[in-house]
Amino acid sequence: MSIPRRTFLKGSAAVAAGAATAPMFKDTWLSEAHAALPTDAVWNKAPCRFCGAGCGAEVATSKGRIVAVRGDEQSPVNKGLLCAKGYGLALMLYGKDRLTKPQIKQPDGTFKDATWEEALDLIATKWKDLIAKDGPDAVSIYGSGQWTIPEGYAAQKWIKGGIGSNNLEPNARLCMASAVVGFLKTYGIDEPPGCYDDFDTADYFFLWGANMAEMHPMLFNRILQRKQADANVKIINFSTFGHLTDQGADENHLFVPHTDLYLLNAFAQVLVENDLHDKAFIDAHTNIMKDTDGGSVTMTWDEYVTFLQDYTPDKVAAQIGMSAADITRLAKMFGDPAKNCVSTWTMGANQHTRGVWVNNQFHNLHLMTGKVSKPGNSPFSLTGQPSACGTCREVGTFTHRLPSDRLVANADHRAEIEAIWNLPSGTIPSPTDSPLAHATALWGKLAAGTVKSVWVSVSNPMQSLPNLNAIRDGVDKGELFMIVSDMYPTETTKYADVILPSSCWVEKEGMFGNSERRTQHFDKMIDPPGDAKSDVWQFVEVARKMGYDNLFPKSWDGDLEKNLYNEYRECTLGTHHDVATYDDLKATRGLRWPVINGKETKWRFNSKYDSEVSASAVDGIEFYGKSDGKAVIWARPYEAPAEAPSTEYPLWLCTGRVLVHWHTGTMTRRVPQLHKSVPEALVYLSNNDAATAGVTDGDMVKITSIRGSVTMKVATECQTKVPDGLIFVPFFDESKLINDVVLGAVDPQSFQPDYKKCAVKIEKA
Amino acid sequence: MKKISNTKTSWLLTTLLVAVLVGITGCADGEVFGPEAGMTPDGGGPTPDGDVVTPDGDMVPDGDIIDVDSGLPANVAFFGAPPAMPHKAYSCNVDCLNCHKTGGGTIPVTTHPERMICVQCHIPQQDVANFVDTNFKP
Repeated sequence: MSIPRRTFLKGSAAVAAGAATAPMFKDTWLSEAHAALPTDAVWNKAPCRFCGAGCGAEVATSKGRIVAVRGDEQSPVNKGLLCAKGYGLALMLYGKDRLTKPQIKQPDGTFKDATWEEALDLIATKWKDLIAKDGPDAVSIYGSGQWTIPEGYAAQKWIKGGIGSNNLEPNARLCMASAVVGFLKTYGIDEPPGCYDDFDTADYFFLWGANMAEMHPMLFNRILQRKQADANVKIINFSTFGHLTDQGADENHLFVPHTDLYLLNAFAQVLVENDLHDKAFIDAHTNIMKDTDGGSVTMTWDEYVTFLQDYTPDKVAAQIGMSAADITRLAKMFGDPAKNCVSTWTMGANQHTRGVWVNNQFHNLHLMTGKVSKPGNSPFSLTGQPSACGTCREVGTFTHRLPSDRLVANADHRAEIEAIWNLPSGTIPSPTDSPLAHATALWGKLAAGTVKSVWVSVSNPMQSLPNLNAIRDGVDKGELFMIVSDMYPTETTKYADVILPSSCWVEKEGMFGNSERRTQHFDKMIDPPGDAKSDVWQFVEVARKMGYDNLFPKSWDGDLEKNLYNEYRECTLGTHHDVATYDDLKATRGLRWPVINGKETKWRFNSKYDSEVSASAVDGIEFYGKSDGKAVIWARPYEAPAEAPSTEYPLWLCTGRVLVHWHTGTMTRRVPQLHKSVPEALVYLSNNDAATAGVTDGDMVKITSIRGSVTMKVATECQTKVPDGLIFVPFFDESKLINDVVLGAVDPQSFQPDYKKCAVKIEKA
Repeated sequence: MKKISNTKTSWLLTTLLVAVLVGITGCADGEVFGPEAGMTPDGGGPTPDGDVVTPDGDMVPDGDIIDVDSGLPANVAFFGAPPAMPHKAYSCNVDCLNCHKTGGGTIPVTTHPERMICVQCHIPQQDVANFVDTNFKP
């Protein structure tokens, strides 16, 4: 159908006149658009399913189907706007290849549909046999920062409190483990001191390895709104390559990969050199420490100042690739006592063989200037998954953790959780009883056959793990018994023995926790397709078949998510991690923990805003995660990267995401508009490197490291503008597995891999 | 052919206006673009024979792109979704606002110029097959 041009123009003029006066994003046309929805459409709130920003969405459902999604105007996070991925939420559940029936792999390698009874019986029998033969550590669960809180909590309780193994890891190990260890080492308690409200009152924003415009689009929008309200606001963007964030920043500075270790110490040195540090705050509220072989020791202030002398701008500018004058000027901006400062960072800092150190260095700058725990002043770690914070970190679905920052290595912590779980003392295994294996170590054991089975839930490790060539053959041998719960076929389901069809997002009830400690609830709004079921139901049913009925009482059925959340909440009370009541979560757009007497906490460690601070705290500041109430300024030296360009492999490879695709692309590629925007992964090259390789846009190149190779199309464009000597490749495309090329080196303190730096060569293919 | 209801028609006219809208800032001060001023400085805008082209010379569809089942333009996924660009994204250093600040003809005017990075919501589209077809119905 076409509209006559005359009619169209008439309509255009009328609307243009109206639109010019519309003051807010909520325009007339949007209301009119929603008026065209079916008359029985009902709107209900849900946090976005994609990144860790935790934007509020509203979902319109009619006759059991989603018909529209809009930004939630009542959400304090995004205030009514969503990004392209967020609008794609409406379509992500509806790919034609949704998994709708359990499938069991046959001896000839094909999959055959099964009933739930058959599939779950097979899993329960197999796991009981494996445990009887080889002990509890024969099995494992590999989960996700996309797990809802009840899902992660059920997995945690089942494997550590039931089966008796610490073989539990999430994919979140790959994305923010360094941030966690950074917070713990600096403050003694995980998660940011501040919150997104800081974005509304900061004067200077320092972005350290975070392409916020693409990875956290609505948070970057919030920063841009702040900038529009006050022309003195500045956004300083540090990165190893150019990207969309450059378009909104006041200054863009490229640094040589891995030299953030230099740059942050140079900032600290300039602060001290120019007396821009707050010595009274440092003396009252911090200790200064450094690592030694096998431990750590305190330093004096003078020793720390001496340590920084190796990092003057003059000494490190050449290595960083910036001018000493720029470094000095920018550090002085940071130190300006009249200015509020926010630092944001994400994978550029965390996926780093010294990611923990870099995280400590961010906190150092804020502690040295007292720019922490007060409005507009925030060292802020951004997360990549919707509940990496709420589930992985807070529920503690890592091998070494228990809820609310408790550790399996701590006998008191194990006893506290055993008491809440009503289990005999000694049920939860110590690390001696069940050795800890972080994500890449666990997959090494699975590939080697020392752990016999894994249940993969809401994750796609056979695309997202680093150095896939090192594990693929072992995983593929056929001896490993792999269960995969997912909504679509993935790289990982190819290796499964049992595939379980999962419900997703508003096809079930759940809670996510976002980057600013905000826990958000969503209702089940529609039924999943076919026989798909929630992952929490799957865990509980198999646990019961294996005899762990005591962990998940039958009386919980019908309200499983609520009962699991309520029990989890008990674990948080009195720990400074207290989460909101179930009813409060249902009634609000989420609350930021600690929630004390129903009141959320925006800024921790400051008695003006945080009721957990003791009355006796000096100046009302108490970093209560540490027993003496003092945070730690860590002296962190430079250390060379695990691998650097050489004559044979002359280029840095950096991997990551693009705006329209989320992680391994299993959901976003099934949204037609998102797929058609970026239909395949491209390798971004500088013009000079393209010329050297004799290639131009659209040509194919083979990218090779000592570990593997992959071939893909070249792009030399200006939105993703890489410098000479560095190439960027997104990892969403399952037909171009860049993780065959990426190295497997991890940070020795967080065990998080470095996906941002390895050495490669390119050849025209 | 499915008949489009009055509500949908009214909405449709509105959407076609905003269908390619992209909100941005950064336009050169004081300059007027759009049909009254002729072509934009970067070479886009209305042509003498009544078509509209982007700076790369890509023809912008003007209203014959309606999906008759849903009543939605082809570049709008559901009612209230941000329209995808119906034309190619062109050189990064060209402001969308060169055309979409004042609009005119079939060039829609942005209703939200305060949003600075247009492509966060309004994404370009390539002429490729779906990765997997969709069961979504708006």
